[in-house]
Amino acid sequence: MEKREVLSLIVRNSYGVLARIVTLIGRRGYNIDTLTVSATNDNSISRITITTKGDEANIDHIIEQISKLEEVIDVYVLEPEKSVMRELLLLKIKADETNRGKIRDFVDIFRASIVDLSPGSVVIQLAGKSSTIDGFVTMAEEFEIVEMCRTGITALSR
Amino acid sequence: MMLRGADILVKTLVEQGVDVVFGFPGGAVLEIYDALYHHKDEINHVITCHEQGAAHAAEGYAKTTGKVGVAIATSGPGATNLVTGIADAYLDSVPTVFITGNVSTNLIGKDSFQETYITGVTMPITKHNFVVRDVNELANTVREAFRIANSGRKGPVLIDLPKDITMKKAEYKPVEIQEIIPKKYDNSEMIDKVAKLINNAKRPVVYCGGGIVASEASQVLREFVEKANIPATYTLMAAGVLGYEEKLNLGMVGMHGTATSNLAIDHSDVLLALGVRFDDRVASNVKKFAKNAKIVHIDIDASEINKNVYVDYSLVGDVKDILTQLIEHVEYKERKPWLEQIEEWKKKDYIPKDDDSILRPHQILKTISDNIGEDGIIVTDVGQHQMWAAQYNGRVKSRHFVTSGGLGTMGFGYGAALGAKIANKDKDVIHITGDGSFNMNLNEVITSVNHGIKIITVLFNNKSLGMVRQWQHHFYDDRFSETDLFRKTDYLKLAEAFGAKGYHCTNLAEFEDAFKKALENPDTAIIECMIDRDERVLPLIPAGKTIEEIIMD
Repeated sequence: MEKREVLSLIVRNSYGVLARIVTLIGRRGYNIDTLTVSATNDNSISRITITTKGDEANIDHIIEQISKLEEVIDVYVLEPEKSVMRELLLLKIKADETNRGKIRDFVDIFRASIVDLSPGSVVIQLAGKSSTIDGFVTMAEEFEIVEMCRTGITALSR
Repeated sequence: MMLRGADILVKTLVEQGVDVVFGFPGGAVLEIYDALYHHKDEINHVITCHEQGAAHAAEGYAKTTGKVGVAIATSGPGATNLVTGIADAYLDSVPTVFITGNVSTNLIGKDSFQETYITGVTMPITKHNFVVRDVNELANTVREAFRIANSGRKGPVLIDLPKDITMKKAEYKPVEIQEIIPKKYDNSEMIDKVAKLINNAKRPVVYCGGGIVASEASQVLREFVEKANIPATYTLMAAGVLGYEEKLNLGMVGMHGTATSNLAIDHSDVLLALGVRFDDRVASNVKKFAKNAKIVHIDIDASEINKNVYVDYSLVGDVKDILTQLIEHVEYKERKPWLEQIEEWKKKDYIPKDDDSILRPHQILKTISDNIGEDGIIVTDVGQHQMWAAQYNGRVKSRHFVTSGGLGTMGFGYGAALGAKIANKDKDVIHITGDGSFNMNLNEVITSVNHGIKIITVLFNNKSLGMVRQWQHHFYDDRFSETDLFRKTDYLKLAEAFGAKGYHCTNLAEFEDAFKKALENPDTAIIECMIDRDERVLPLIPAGKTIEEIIMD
């Protein structure tokens, strides 16, 4: 059965390490839904968080293949109940004096925040679980969405 | 001591036990070639005619010795010419280190003259690759490259060296070569289980591959097979690991393997897969492969477990270590009905008919094998001749049959033969090829003649691309699209032009005579054998099919 998994990769922070991982996943025919690369408390090490889909065997293969890369120090599946997973959303919607109040109420309900206010638009920021962000985006469709950007999941085990 | 990068490179190669490198000079590697000039006494450089030849030579060297093979090329086209050889080494897990020059660091990324991003190009076909950006890291990078190439599942590593790095100076301290300490795996529990499974098996089969060669496990494999009394088959990559005509040897497995070995796997109740990867040329139909068997997979590469075929038991680790432990727990069983069944299959198996009045492939191979004895090395190209050579090579030792298995590289043979001969000066090296493969890289005959590296080429000339033509016969109603070549090359003149000795044969007696002369003569030789274009490789299990659809005539 196909399922969605979040993989956490601890990698050496060297030239081309991202290209190696992406090339490997691409040539083996696996899918990447989201990918984030982030700094850690050690400058020489980065964390890459990948969301991918596949059945159990697929996921095992991806992990085994990734583990073979010289620059990968560790790779493991993050289980949702045992980890903290967050995404950041930036959403620009059309706004003028007629709907700003409504937008503010909507933003408050989701505990999102308005991070930019321009004459014709506002930019809203929301950090949270992917499902929360999915819900927020669905609800935001009642406004006119100009642009949207999601960072993809970044995660740590508890 | 302070040394320039190029000298550090050569010193580190020597430190790693390298005595020969194959390569071709060029602008970006001028410093390296200058260093090689200075260190001539410590390291032998063999210049090939084309970088691809150098890459295959490094493979031939590595495949016949187990040591790391090394090839050097300049930037740009030099580096891209290595690519086929690197891919070949990757698919056959050959320990190799490729060194490429590149433009100076200030010119990288600017589409400079002869610049390619070779680490990007080779990312999917190397175990790992490096760009050295600091001369102080050069020596350790080379050491690391050798460690990676020759540990775990072996394979190619590439080091890209910008020209300024080879010119800059750094402190160099020689280091004692570090012994590779294999990763330890605890399989003790699984070993008991598997031993029980084997001891209770009615119809067990051993299926072994290149991993046996890589871990030097041929001897322990033979002891294991004999102690447990289990019939064994081998892949193309493992020719020679079993005694050629021993009773328990079922012959090669797979698309052009014996019917017996494929039938045995199909009927087995326990299949021991040792250092193999269930390649599609063996497990043609993964759903039906060994469908009645509990499969035990032993391999050093954890990512091979359940990759192509789902297995019931798996042991990750060095196959020699594991077999050495397993052998203690297995018992001799008579397995009479099973071995009798196998004898029945053997009797009905495909046996080619002799005909001395023409040249039949199996008879050529037998003549070669009889004349070179068990120490002779056979190197092949890719195609029909390769499969005939795989079937009838008569090799009884590991590392004495060299072929391009995974990538199937036509043009592999001559370069590989050069590497094999350099590493085994006292052994006869016979290059078996077809006219299709030979024409791809026959320029390397020049290398052989110029360096006095004696190679005997046995050229199976059917004036066609036989393997593709055979498939067109079986599966495309004899529409021989671009396979009937009728090339007019005169190979006697070609041999002469290159400074080699040429022979032309049309029947077995002529071949026996020519081959004996070529062996006695100190010169590189090309023996052209005229083969009927309708000669086919049999048996044949079509791609994706099973033993039930085997073609025997």
